[in-house]
Amino acid sequence: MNITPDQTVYWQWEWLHINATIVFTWVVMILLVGGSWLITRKLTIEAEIPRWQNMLEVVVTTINDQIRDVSGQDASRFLPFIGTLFLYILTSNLLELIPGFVAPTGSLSTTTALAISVFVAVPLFGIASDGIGGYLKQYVQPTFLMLPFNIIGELTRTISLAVRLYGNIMSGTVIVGILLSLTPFFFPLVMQLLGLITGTVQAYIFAMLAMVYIASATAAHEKAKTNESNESASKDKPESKPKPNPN
Amino acid sequence: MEIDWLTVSAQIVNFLVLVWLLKHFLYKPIIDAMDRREKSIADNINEAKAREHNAQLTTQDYESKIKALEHDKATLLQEAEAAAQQKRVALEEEARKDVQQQKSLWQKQLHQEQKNYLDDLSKTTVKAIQDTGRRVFGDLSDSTFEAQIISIFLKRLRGLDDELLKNLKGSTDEIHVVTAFEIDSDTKQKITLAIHETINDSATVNYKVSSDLLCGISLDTGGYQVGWNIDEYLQKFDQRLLESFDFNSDYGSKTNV
Repeated sequence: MNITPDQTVYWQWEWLHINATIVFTWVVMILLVGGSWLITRKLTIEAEIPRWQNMLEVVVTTINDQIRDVSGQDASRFLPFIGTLFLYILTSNLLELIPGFVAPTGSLSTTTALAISVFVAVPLFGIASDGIGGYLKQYVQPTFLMLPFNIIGELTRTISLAVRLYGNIMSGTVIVGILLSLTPFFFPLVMQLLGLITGTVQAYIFAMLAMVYIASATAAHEKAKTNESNESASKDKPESKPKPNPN
Repeated sequence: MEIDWLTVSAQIVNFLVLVWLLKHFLYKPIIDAMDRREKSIADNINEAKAREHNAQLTTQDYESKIKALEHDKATLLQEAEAAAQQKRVALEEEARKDVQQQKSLWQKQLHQEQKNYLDDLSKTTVKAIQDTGRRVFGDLSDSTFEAQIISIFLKRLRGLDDELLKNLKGSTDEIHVVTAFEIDSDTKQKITLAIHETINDSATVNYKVSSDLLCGISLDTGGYQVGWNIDEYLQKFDQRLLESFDFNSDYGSKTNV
C-alpha cells in the first residue's frame, strides 16, 4: 500500500520522473484554471449575472473578506497567494472522493512545497511592505538575544504547517484504506464524509495560518503607516481633537 | 515517509504557476467585474439621485408656477370679464348704430319711393285732371281748359293784394310768364295787356313754356311770383296721401307687433 502518491511513478527518465502527485496536481490546476477561464471569459456587469459568475464572486469575495478579517489590511495583494492556497488544497481534498483520484495534498512533498512557498512568501511580503531593514529588524526584537529563537520559530512554523496538512490528508487516506479492509461497506463511507469536513477545514486552516504569518510580518509596517497618517491628519487639522489609535 | 525534493520543486513551480494563472483568469477578472458593477450601480444611484434632485427642482418650479398662475387667474378673469363687458357694450352700440343706419337708409329709401310714387301719381293725376278738365270744359262750355287757366290767372292778377302789387310795381326786372302749355298770340297779348294795366305799362314780358309747372301759369319778376298751378292742389293731395301712408304704416307696425 502506497501511503504517498510520490511513490506512484508514471514516467521516469534517469533521475527525472513524473509521479502521481505531479499529475494530479496538473489535473487540479486544469480544473481550476479551465473552470475559471470558462466562466470569466463571459463576465457581465449588468444587475443580473449568470449563476456561475455569481458563484465565483461569492468564492472570491469570501476569501477576500477572510483575508481582510485576519490580516486587518488591504486584502487585494494577498488574495492571489492565499486564495490559491485555499482553492488548491480544497479542490485536491474534495476530489479525493472521486474513485481513482489521489489527492496531491496527501504527499509530504506537496505540503512541503506549499509550506516552503509560505516560508518564502512571509519575508517577501514583509520586505515588500517594510523594506529589507525593517523586516530584518523584527528578528532582533525585542533584543538581539532573541535572534536564534526567532529564526527557529520561523523554521518550525513552516515545518509544522507542512506536516499538519500532510498528516491530516495522509491519515485520512490511510484510515480509509485500513477500514476498507476491515469493514468494507458502511464505515468507509462515514470516513469519506468526515474526510470532506477535514479536507475543507484543513484548506481553511492552512490558508489562514499562512495569512497570519504574512500579516505578522507586515503588521509592523502597517502600524507605522497608520500612526504616520494619524499624525499627519492631526497636523493638518490642529483644531480637531486627536483620535485614539485603533491599534 | 520521504520527501522527494524533485517533486517538491515541481510542486513549488506548479503552485506558483497556478497562482499566476488564477490571478490572471480568476481573481483579476472577478474583482474587476465586481468593481465595475459596483461603479455602475453607484453611477446609477448617483444618476437617480441627480434625477430626483432635478425632479424636485422641477416640481418646485412648477408648483411655484402653478401658484403664480392661480394668483393671476383671478386677475385675468376679472380683466377678461371687464374686456368682455366693454366688448359687449361696444358691439351693442355698433349694432344699434347699424340698425339705426339701416333704419335711416330704409326710411330714406322709403321716402324716395314715396316721392317717386307721388311724382308718378302727380303726373298721372295731372294728366287725368287735364283730360277730365278738358272734357268737362268742352262739354259744359265753349271754353278750353287752358283758356280757363288763363282766365283764372288774369282774375288773380287783377285781384292782387296791395302789398304784393306794390312790390311787383317796384320791380324793374323783366317779367317772365311761364306756362305749362303753348299759348297763342291773342292770349299772350291779352296777358301782356293785363300786366301793363295792373303792374307796369312799360314792362317787358317774356313768355316761356316749361313742363316743370305741370299744369298752370306763373308770373315771375324781382323774386315775386303770381300764378295758378295745379301743383297747389296736388301738394294738398300729396299731403293727404302721405297722411294716409303714415296711417297705414302705423297700422302695419302695430299689427306686426
